[in-house]
Amino acid sequence: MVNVKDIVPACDTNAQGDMIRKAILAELSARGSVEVSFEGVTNATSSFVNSAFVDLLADYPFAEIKRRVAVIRVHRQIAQLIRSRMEFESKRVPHAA
Amino acid sequence: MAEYLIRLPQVLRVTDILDAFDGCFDLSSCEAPDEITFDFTDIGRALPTGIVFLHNLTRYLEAKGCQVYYLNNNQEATRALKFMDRIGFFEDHVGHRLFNSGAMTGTTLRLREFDTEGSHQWVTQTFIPWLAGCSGIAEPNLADIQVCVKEIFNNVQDHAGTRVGSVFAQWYPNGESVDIAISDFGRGIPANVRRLLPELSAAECVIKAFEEGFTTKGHPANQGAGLHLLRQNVVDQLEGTLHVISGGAVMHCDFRKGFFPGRVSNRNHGYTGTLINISLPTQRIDRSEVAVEDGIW
Repeated sequence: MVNVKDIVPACDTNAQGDMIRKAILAELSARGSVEVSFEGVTNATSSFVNSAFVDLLADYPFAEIKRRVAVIRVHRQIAQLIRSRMEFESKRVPHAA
Repeated sequence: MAEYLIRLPQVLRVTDILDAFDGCFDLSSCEAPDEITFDFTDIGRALPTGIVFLHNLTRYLEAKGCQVYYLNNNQEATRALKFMDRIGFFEDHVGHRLFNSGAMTGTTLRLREFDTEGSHQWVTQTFIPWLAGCSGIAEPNLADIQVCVKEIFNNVQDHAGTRVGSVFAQWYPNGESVDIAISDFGRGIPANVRRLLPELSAAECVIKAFEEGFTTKGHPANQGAGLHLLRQNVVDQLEGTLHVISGGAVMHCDFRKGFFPGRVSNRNHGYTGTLINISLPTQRIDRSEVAVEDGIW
């Protein structure tokens, strides 16, 4: 489990997103799947989502991410942004879909 | 010794301030004049965008080594000058308040200079609690607005070439709406976009910058999402308006017309910074309890 609030104080910047992506990749590498919990987080910027999730497309296709990465305890704004950014970028990143 | 007297307009708005420079010097010139004096005699009304712009313009000129003076800013305590005094404008620039202008009302947030390091904290700890108090909307329901303001600050950090600027917010209880004006004095959107698309006009550059997926890679991680999200949240979702002044372009964006040009100053006078004003009616914001989802795909 990656508990976002335990790793970063807020979800505002690329640097904070990078930290979450590294934690996700470590869990994927160790266990093959991961739960990412946004418990206690009410909003996230596109910079954060790009670095935490969209950049995962460099390592895994979107279908694989959907299968292996479960995002839980997440508010609507964050959920919508992750979905829309991943869908948009998976269509334009070669081999990401 | 080069000295200029700029008579500020009756309505303190950006284009009119720039018009007041007509016949003077070009602000983009490497050499600023030695002295510039802003004459406040005519000011009858001060708009948030104009206040933020004049605040930044003063700092911009000072950064270029120009000595800035204010004239007739305390001759008569007009409503506009008292308003500027209350929100901290003169305190920031002349070191103290000019009038016994009273305490700031709860519907106004003090004008604030920001550096991007502290800007997100200001949004979370100052702006959102203030807006929640004014609007009666719970803080979690203001997530979309919170993110919009943070996106602008991230944009300043990644693209402006400077990390400072100023922000001012005003709540209008009668219309249940909020104005948030954020301005930096960086290189401006057109200068960044033209590095990739030199053929575009300043106005076209602003429109391009708001397209999803368009990025000038001001930061290696940029993917062209922030300004698009700003438009999506403010204009498409909440039917607010955006007002963007940057590098010679004056653009408005609303729900019915999308982007359309506003009145441009006769000459832009080289002020390259970017000012974004969000005007947002809050009636459309969902007030129901924010649900927490499990499983988003």
